[in-house]
Amino acid sequence: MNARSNILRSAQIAKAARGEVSESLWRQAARRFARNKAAMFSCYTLVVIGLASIFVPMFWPHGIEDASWEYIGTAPSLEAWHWFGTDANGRDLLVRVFYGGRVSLSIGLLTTLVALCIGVTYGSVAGFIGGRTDGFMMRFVDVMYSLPLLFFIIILVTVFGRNIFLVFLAIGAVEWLTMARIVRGQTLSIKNQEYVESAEAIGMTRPMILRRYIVPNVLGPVVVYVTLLIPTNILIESYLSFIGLGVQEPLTSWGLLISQGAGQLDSAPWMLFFPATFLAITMFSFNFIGDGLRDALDPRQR
Amino acid sequence: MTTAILEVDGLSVSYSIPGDGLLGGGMRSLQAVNDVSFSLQAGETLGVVGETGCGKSSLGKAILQLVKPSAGRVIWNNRDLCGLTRKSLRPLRKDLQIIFQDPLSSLNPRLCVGEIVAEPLLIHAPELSAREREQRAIAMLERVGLRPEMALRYPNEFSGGQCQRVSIARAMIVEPKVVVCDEPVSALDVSVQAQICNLLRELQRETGIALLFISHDLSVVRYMAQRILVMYLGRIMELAPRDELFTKPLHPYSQALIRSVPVPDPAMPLNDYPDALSGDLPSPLDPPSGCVFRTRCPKSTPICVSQAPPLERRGDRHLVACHHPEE
Amino acid sequence: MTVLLECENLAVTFDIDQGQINAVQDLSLTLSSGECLGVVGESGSGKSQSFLAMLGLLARNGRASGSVKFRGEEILAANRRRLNELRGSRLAIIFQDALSGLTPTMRVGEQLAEALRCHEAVDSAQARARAIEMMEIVNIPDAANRFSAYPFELSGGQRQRIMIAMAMICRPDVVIADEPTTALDVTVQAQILRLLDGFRRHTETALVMITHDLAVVAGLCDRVMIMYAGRPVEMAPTATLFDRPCHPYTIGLLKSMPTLRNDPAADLPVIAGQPPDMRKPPPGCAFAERCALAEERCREERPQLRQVGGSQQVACHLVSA
Repeated sequence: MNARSNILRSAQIAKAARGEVSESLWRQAARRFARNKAAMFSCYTLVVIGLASIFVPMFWPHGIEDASWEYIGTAPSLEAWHWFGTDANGRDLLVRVFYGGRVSLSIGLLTTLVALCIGVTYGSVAGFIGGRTDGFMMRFVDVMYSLPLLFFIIILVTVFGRNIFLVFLAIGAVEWLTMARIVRGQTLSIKNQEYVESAEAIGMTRPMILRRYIVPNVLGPVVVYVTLLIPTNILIESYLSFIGLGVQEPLTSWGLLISQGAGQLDSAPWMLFFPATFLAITMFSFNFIGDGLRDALDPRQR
Repeated sequence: MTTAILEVDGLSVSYSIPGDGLLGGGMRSLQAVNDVSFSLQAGETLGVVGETGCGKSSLGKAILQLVKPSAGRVIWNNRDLCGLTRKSLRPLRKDLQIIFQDPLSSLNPRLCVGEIVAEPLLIHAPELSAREREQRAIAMLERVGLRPEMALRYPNEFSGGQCQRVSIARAMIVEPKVVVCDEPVSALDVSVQAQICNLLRELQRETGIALLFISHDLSVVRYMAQRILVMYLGRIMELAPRDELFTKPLHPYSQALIRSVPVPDPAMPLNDYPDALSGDLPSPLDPPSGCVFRTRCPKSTPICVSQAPPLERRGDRHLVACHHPEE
Repeated sequence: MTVLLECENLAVTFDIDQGQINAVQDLSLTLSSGECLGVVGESGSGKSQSFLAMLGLLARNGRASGSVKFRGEEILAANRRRLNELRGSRLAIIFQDALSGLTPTMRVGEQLAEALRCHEAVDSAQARARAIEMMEIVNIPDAANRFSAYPFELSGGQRQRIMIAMAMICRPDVVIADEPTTALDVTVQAQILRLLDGFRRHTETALVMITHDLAVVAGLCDRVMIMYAGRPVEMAPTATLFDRPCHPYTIGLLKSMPTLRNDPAADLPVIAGQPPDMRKPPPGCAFAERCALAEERCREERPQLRQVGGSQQVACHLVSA
C-alpha cells in the first residue's frame, strides 16, 4: 500500500521528535505477547527444535539409513556418537529423531498453510457474499465434515498408493473446514460493522473491501487457530504413521518412530522415550503460544 | 433561489425478519421506511428526528443505497439511484457521503488515520500520485482540527470526538455535494458535541454542501437544520421549517417530542411539564391501523383508526400528516 | 434529614497495562435522606466509578481508598457479606443498560420477587403481590400479565422501569441512578425522570443521579456536583449552579449545550480541546489546558475545592470567595 509508505515521512520525524509512539493493533499485541513468559519460552524452544531438525542431520556423523552391526539396539551413550541410542537395525536414533522432526514439522506447517489459504478465502467469501451463496458453500463444508478423516485417507491411499504428498493433501483437505467456519463467523460479524458500511459508502469494490477491511480484521482469531492447528496436524500425521498409513520407511517421522518404539518398549524404551518427548514438547509449545496469542490479541484486554 | 438537488420520492425500505416457522420459514417483513418523499435543497441542512426505530437511519442509508429500498426513487442529477448497479453507482458516490454514529466502529482499526482519510481518493481520484493523496489527506486533517502528525496514529488511540473528526475528513475529502450525517454527535460528550456541530456548520458554510442531519436530539437538530422532518414508525409526520416547527408544531407527535426535551432551567421542575407522551413505541412488525401514532395520541378519534392521514400542506412550506392538526 | 452517606477523600485507582490510572481523587461529600444529588461529568470524569466504588462494585483491577460511611458505618472496608446485605436492601443502583442488568432467562416478575425475598422475610405469594404492586407503581401496563414476561419481550423503557422497580422494591435509603436515561428516547426519558422524581418526593429515599446531561439534572436535583478528570470541580445547589456557575468548566458546559431556547443562528460557544489523558494527568488544574482564563499558577498548582458564598464549593484559583 503506497499510501502507507509515503504518508508523512515528515510527520514520522515530527512525531519521533516529540517522543510519541504510535502502535498498530498488531504492534500492541506483539508487545503484550512478548510479556508472556511461557509463550516466549515456547517460541525459543520451537526455534531450537526447528533449527536442530534442519541442521543436526546435515552434520551428524551418522546418516539416517546408516545401519551399524556393532551397535544394534544399544542404549543411549556418549560412545560412538549414539547419544540417543540406536534402533533394532543399528541406526542412530538421534539423527532419526531430528530427521523425523523435519518431516513432522514441515507436514504440520505445510498442511496448516494449505488449510489456512483455502479456509480463509472460502470462509471470507462465503461470509461476505452471504445469502444463498453462503448457504450453499457452508452446506458443502457440512458434507465434507461428515466424511470421517480416516475413511477419507484410506480411500485416497487405496486409490493412489502410499505417498507422503497424499498425507499432506488429506490432512489439508480436512482441516480447512474448521478454518472456513471460523473465518465465516468472524466475517459475518465484521460485515455488520460500520466501517465496512463506510467502505461501501465511498464506493470501494468488493474485492478491495475483502482485502483491506475484512481479512485483516479476521486475522486475529485465525492466527490463534493456526497455532493450535499446527500441533493438531502434526498429531494427525503421527497417528497416520502409527497405524501405517502415513510416512513410509526409510523416511521417518515422529509418529513412525513412536510406533516403532512402542513395539520395543520392553527391550529398548529409549526408542519410545526420545521421539515421544520431542513430540510432547512441541505440542506443549504450540499450545502455550496459541494461548499467549489469544490473550495478546483479545481486544477486551485493552 | 433554492433548487432541489436530491429528490426522494415514495421511498420505502423493508427488512425481512425470520418468522417462527421451521427452517426459517414464514419470513415477516418489517417496514422500516414507508412512502417517504421530500427534496433536499442545495446548501441546506434538513434535520430528521424521531425515536429509536422510527426508520430515520434506514432512510439515510437507503438514500445512499447502502440498504436496498423496496420501493420508490432517489433522484440525483436526473438519475434514479435505486435502479443502478454497484458499478454505475460508484462514480456517483463521490458526491454522496455519510458520517456514522459510532465514532470508533466506523473506522477500520487496522488502518492508520492518514490512510483512512486518503482512502476515498484511491477510488475517486486514481490519477493522483501517492504523494498528492497524502498532501490532501493532511490538509483535510488540519481542516477538521487534527494535527498532521496524527495521520500516522491508529483509531484506537483517539477519543470519540477526534474519531468523529476523522470520519468527517474522510467524507469531505472527495468534496461531496450531499452528506448524510447519521447521528454524528449522539455518542459524544456534551462539550465535544458542540465542537463537532460547529465544525459541520463551518464546513457547510465554506463548501455549500447539503446535509441530511439525522438525530434523536431535538436541541441539536434545531441548532443544525433549517428544515426538520419528523418521523414516526417509518412515516413522515411533519415537515416544516425549523422556527415554524418549534413555535407552532401542528402534529401531536411533534408537540409531544418538543415537550419531552428537558429544559436546563431549575425554575422548571419536572412536575410542571405538560403531560409527556405515555406508552412506548408500538412494534414496527405490527403497526397500528390508520394513523400509526394513534395509540399514543391524546387526540385520537375513530377516523384515525380507520384511515391513515395523508401528508397535507398547511401553510407555505409546512406539511403535516394528521386528521386533527392543531391550528 | 439524617445523614445517610458520608464520603471522605475517596480515591479510585485502576491498574492497567502501563501502570495506574487515578480515576477518582479527593472526593468528599455527604448525602442526606430525601435529597437528590446530581453528578455531572463527561465520560472518563470518574462520576460513575466513584459511586461504584462506594458500593464495592469496582472492576477487578480497581481499588478504592478513603472513607465511605453509611449511617455512620464504614462500608469501604466492609466484608463481602455485609456489603451484600446493604446492597439491594439499603443501597440500590440503577444501571444505564437495563438489558444486561436483568437475567435474560428469568421472568421479570420473578426477578423482582427474588430481589425482595433476598432481603425480607416474605413468602412467595406476598413477594409476588409486592412485585406486581411495584410494577404498577412504575407504570407497567397490565402488570399482572407482564409479571411472567421475559426481559427481551419488553421495550427499552419498560426494562428500565423494571430496573427502577427492582431498585425500589426494598425501599432503600439511597438509590444511585447511573445514567438511567442515556440509552432511552426523549419521550421515554421524560417518563422515567418523572417516575424517579415521584419516588423521591413520596419517600425518604435519597437519589444520586449520575448523568452527562445538565438539562436532566436541572428539573430533578437539589444539588449538583460537577466532576472533571476525576475530581469534583464545583458543587452547589441546582438553582445557584445554573444562576451563578463559578468554575470555567461549568460555565463552558452550560454555554456549549444546545437547547430549545438559544439562538440557532449563532455558533455554539465551545470548550476547546480534549479532556486530559488520565494516564498522564497534568500537575496543576486538570482543566487549565482548555481554560481561556488559565494563568501560570493554574498549570502548576492544583486548586482545592473550597467554599465560595454560602453553599457553593468550587475548585478554581481564579474564583474569589
